[in-house]
This record gives sequence, structure tokens and C-alpha cells, in this order.
Amino acid sequence: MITGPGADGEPVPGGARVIRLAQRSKDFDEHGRVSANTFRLSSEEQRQKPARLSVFVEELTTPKQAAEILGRSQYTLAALLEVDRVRIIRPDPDPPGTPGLDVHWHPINNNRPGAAGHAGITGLDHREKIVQRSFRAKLADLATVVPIEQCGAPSAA
Amino acid sequence: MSEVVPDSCSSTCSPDEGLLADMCLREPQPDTAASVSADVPYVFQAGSLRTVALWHSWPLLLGESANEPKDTTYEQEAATKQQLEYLGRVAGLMRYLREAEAGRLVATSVATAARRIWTALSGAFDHQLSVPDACPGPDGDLLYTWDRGHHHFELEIEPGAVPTAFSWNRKTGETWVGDAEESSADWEEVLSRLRAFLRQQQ
Repeated sequence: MITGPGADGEPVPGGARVIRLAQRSKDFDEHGRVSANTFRLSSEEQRQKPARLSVFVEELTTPKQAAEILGRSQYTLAALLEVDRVRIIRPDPDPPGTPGLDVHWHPINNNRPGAAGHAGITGLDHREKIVQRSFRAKLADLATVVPIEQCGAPSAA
Repeated sequence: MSEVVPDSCSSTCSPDEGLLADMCLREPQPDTAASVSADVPYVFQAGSLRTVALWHSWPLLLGESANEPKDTTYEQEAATKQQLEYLGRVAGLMRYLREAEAGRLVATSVATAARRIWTALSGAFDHQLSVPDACPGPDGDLLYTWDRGHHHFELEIEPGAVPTAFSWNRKTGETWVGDAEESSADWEEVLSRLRAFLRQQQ
């Protein structure tokens, strides 16, 4: 059980799940999956050192809280990823020395409820595009997707 | 020449833009129509606009299903329904792009490129390519995705960059990336890999 956030860069404990907010693709209502584009680093995320994909630890942040922190109405889906499964993903191809994906705590300066759960997935900025694309596609296959409106009210935490 | 446009095809779809390749139905040119049986689907050119039309689909598109030709066979009706469903999916893609552009989820240059690429791909496969899923990314970009069984194919369209393709076979783990532009050396490979998503194989 996670009782609070770790320090910046510290690994999120195994057994946790993280939330990545996602946009609905055109055919979402038919297949119920998120697009691999959900896991594409934004230019802002790429500028961070290390580059990390913004996620929230489910035990500390509800999807609705995450949506309110992000503040963008088009993100109506929550893609849920098990941290342990994220860590064992390997890309195709798998060049020697390629670091795997990892999930680190990434505190943000935000007072909204749920902000304490902010974390980041590292390893998505591999120098080879094919590796980046492979990681993204595999994350999309791995994700469990829930519409945010079905996630209940934000907790008062 | 009169023009029949499905409801979902708004006035923003001008034939001059070349964007209606799969969406808008036009009456056939007399010389073209004369060479084709009235009972079968035909393909014809109208200036730069390449259009697939089903003569039987016109009454259905207009909501006049009672006026269907009496000699239509079951197979023809099934083909007509399949073609109408396809046209609806193309219209849905165009609508999605229009709305994503209007909502500033994708850059105008990206939406334009996405339409152009779809038109090129659809034409290259004689309108037999499945309509892709589409989803905006974080920086005004767009991803087209085709998925069928273990076959996965993406086209990434970014502002100011050559679109790139990514192919992944979930079963074998084989992957490939390349440029997805008609003028690029990778174009034939893009087409080759998209053959896994032709409509007849569904």
C-alpha cells in the first residue's frame, strides 16, 4: 500500500497502478482501446531531464483529479497501467543496452487534490524512432481503459 | 452535373479541394456510364476527383430505399450495404478530422496532410483499404492506426515533418519504420504492409 509520494526520481513501488489521461480516438466506442499516441511524449515532457511521460499513481490520485490537474477537457479517458508490467516491456527491436521503461515519482508544484500522486514513465525517449514507436504500441496494448466520467467524484484528499 | 452528397458531407467539402474522393457521389459522365453495367459498382474519374459510386446506393443514400431496383440480387444488396458502410466510415474520418482541426486538437497542416494521405492510400488500393482509426497527439499531431489480429500499422503525421509509418507484427515481433510520403523510397513498402488491412480480408 502506498501511503505517500516518494522523492523525485525514486521508483514507484511495484504493485501500483498508474493513470495516463488519454483522448478518445475516432473509433474508441468500437474497440475500447487507447491509441499509441496516448504514450507519445509531449514537447514539454521531452524537455525534462530525464524525459518522462506524465502519469498519476492510482492510490493517490483519482482519474477525475488527474483530469482537473491537467485541465484539458479533451482528455476524457483514463489508461491504467500496472507498474510491474510496464517495467518488463521490451521493444521490438531490442538494441543492446536499451534501458527498459521505469516509473519514477515526479513531484509537481500544484496544490490541487491528488497532485501528490504525480509520477513519470522514463525510457520513452530512446534515440531510435522504431524503439520509441514499439514501446508506445506495447503500452497501448497493455492499458486498461476507463472513461473518466465513470470513475466517480474526486475524493476530498 | 448534379451532385449528391451524403448528409455527413458538409459544405466545407468542396470537390475542388480534392477531399471528397471517397465521400461524395456524383452522377456518372455519360461516356463513362455507357461502358459499365448499371448493376455493378463502377469507378470513374471526374476531373481530379476519383470517385467510387454504386448506382444502387443512390436511393439508399437519399433515404428512398423503397425505390431499389427490382432485379437486385442478394449479393448485390450485400455489396451495396458494405459499400455504404465504407462510405459512412470515410465520412466519419473526414468529420473527425474537421472537428479535431476546429477544436485545435490537430494543426491545420496536419489535418490537411491527413486528408491527402488518406486520399492517396485509398486511391492506391482502389478504395479497398480499411478506414483507419485516428487520434490526436499532445502537440497537434495525429496518428492513423490500423489493427487486425496480430497486424498493427500506424501513420504518424506531425506539423512540419514527413509523415512516418510504423508496422508491427505482434506474433513475430517484426517491426518496420519508414517515411509515408508518395515521393519517398519507402512508399511501396508502406503500401505493401497495408495490404494486411484491405477490406476484402475482413
